[in-house]
Amino acid sequence: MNFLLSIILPLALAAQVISAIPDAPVRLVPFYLSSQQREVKMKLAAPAAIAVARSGNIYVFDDGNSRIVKLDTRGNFISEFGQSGSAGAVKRAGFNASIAVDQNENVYVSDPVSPKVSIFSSDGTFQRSFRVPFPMTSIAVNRKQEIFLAIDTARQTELIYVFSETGKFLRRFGERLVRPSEGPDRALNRAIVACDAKDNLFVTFRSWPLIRKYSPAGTLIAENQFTIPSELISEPQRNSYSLDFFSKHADSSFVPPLITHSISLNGAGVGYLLLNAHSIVIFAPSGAVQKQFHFRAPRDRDNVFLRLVGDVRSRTVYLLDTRSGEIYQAPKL
Amino acid sequence: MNPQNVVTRKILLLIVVALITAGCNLSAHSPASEPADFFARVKISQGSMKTSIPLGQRLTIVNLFEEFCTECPTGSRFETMERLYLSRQTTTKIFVVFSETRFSTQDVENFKEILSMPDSLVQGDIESMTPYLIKGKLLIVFDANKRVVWQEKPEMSEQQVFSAISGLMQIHGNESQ
Repeated sequence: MNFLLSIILPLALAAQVISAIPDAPVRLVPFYLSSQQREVKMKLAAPAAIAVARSGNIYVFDDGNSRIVKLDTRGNFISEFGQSGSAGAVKRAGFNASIAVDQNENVYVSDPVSPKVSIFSSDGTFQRSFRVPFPMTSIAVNRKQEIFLAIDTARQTELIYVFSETGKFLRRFGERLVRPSEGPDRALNRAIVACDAKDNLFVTFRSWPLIRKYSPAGTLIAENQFTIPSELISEPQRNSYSLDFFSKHADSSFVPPLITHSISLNGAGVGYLLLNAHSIVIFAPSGAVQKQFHFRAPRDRDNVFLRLVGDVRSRTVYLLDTRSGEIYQAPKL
Repeated sequence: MNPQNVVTRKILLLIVVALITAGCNLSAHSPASEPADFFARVKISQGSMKTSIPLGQRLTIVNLFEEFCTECPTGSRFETMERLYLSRQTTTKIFVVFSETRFSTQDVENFKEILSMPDSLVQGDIESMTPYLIKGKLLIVFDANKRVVWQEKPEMSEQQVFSAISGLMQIHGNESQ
């Protein structure tokens, strides 16, 4: 299978698709409007990541306030935890802030700066943390409570590192897109990850239009390409936008553009990518792209500032606006 | 108040200020002035035992980590240590000591599996060295007589660190041949 993929994949990538994306209406329902909260502690400041538990509770990495906020299924503020001075205090993580929730509603928060992973129970009690020698760009957790980290380093190493719930390093897997270096090509290897309900791992890249599906053991099962919205790559840049170019010109001044902001899956295994330029990709449990469309972002905000997460119980998705702290529901995406 | 008393008080005050200043200077002293002390202060965990850092025949390169920050200018210290580890000679010993209060035994075990210098990674009590650390870490090189032959300075780049120590390794390696 891997051998077959190694033959097919370079061909697929050669046919790079950069094109206009069709529009589609998306009904957004306000779920949690930070600006309308009365109490200071209920206001979000530059929230950077969002996760939905099986119970429907929502956890927000409130980056500007360095804390985690828990909301109930109706968008009511329940609690905050991980504040400065508390056990397992959360640090500002910026764009690489990432949060995941397991089946028992334990909350996993990555700290790409220190770098470490902190684990809290659903009531916010700090359980433990463990250190990682490299920064990470994303975190996911499966039913076995194995923790998957997308590693961001210039070293020659695999893409994904797996740790047990107690923080023991288990294994690593996944080929990088390009040979890592400290040049702008390093951005190409920055991945974001999500687990489905069958413990498969889906991986996409911040700056390359690809969805990979790995088995629970870490075997590459499928690799599918999606379309890059034409607004993201200008005409003069298009010839340079290839893995080959970045492999050969690690010192190029052409920094690959940011394409994908978030990846998530619902309980049925349907996946969602939120792309830059107001574009959403919906992919099947196999990883195959089903639909890609532009939508109108809430309040016309540039969706550089949006994160999207699927509800594991339904086809509802939540859209987090990282600038305003507003969260919207899209009941039927 | 008696003018003599005032003078005496002023003198006493000056002495106190001088002592405090001297004290501060002492506490800010680099380990270079107290090399033997370094080995007495830093204890590494070996099983359930705590021991001093064993000396190399020629050089002993020790990096202390109380903290590391990947976004700091010198955040790639692991890479530097691995490069040194790979180019070391048998007369040189390399240790990366992680503070036992900041890094768990599990963390260090993980690092041993992940990084390519497993036998150099140890957990240790480096609490007493905290005032000397530069942004949570310190790299220091000793000769066989526990004399400091090189130590990290603030704002040094990783390339400078690597070049300086690999140069030392070469000199000491040649001496041993």
